[in-house]
Amino acid sequence: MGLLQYFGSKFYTPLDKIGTPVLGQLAWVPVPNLNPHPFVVEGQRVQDTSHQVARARWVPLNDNHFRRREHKQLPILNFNLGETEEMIAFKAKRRPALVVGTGATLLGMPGEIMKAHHEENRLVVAPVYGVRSENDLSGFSSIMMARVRHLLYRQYFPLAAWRETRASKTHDGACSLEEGIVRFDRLQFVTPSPPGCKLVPLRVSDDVLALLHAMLWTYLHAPPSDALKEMREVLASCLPDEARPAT
Amino acid sequence: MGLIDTKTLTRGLIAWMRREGLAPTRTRLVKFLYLADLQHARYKGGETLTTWRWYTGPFGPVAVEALQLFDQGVREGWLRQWAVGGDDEAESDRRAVGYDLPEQDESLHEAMPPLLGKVREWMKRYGDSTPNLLRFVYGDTEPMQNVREGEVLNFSRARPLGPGPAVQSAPLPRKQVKRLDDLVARLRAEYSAARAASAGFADGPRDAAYLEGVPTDDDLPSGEFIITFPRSGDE
Repeated sequence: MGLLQYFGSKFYTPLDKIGTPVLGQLAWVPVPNLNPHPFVVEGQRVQDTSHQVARARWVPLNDNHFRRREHKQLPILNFNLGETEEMIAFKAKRRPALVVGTGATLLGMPGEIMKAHHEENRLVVAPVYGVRSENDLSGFSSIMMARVRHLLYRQYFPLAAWRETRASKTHDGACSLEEGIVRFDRLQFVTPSPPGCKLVPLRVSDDVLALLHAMLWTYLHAPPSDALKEMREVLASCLPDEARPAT
Repeated sequence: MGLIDTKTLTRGLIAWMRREGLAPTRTRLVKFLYLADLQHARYKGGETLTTWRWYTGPFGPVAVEALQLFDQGVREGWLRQWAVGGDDEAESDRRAVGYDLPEQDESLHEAMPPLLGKVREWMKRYGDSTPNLLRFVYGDTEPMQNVREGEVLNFSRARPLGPGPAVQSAPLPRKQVKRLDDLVARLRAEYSAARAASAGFADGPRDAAYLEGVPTDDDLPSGEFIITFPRSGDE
């Protein structure tokens, strides 16, 4: 029996409204595709005398990027790049994500009109990746899904499917979710406002949050609690044969 | 203008550039005049030395007053204009126009305000490469941040350089140092215990099913595309 079966209908707690982000809440955020080899966008004017039209080349990052160097081309005004700055290009996809940190960097008075500043009320979110299917070949395999349901990997946590029955007219942001895997190895920081972050009126239950908290801490070097170690032993003993590693 | 007049400032910048072995092209000279204004604005509440109306042109900050001053200098004989490159129409964009002083004037070095010492540093660093000079002006000067071509530059954005006066921490009392030593030792022990406890919490296998079953991120192919930017006032 995997974790999703164990929690069953108690995996989620619906929220009456989106409200202020809370731990364990779901959101939709753009998640970058982290290429092993980053790409840099190099801008070049089409005509030397105009900023209006630029030819942008995206090329693999090399040792000359992010350094002071002899530029042969005139810069592009709208890129606003300093001498050791570059534009990085990557693909991204809007995915569900689980809020695992809130408000950690907010100082000052709430509601105060803030000047442009490094201080931001960013959320820490763990993106959710889906199951491989005919429609999406880039998802996790069913063997990995099974292993994650049994907590075999510290960087992954299972997320149950959710069938939304509430109307989005009455519950802004309400939506259904497919089963997925929460990825601690893709943690990212987002500002909690649309379009970069659309909150969902749904969070994982307190029991799931407690387990998720224990797994996340373990992923970040904390010692696993006795309860977590025992839980993993129980789940591992129930791992289906197809998902067991070859011995 | 109290600190220095625009004629002396322009002539002083040319003298500095020649002293550094740099060609005082019109584009570079305009940019160093802009940087002189910026440096003044940074420490004088946003006020510029020249009070000129700077805006963003195809080659970065430019002021009509600067170009008029150059013309005036040539007419009155305190500037000498030169040009290199092709004369025909097809090569007009490769032609460089610049200015020199009719004769050396050592007093100009004395006339330059100490506040502009930073401009001379930038001259040494970027003065022999117009692309590098423009990249610095575009990316690292406050009035140029987030402006569109044709927009008038706002020097009230200029801020003093540097982090402000250094804040020194007082030496810690011996008693507190001892206490911190004890706490660090405790934290080290906790960390070691955590590592030891984690060692028994093995991860799942990195076998063929793992390697095949975890999504991979595609690499992008190299390529290029055309971007069109709006001008100031465009929707």
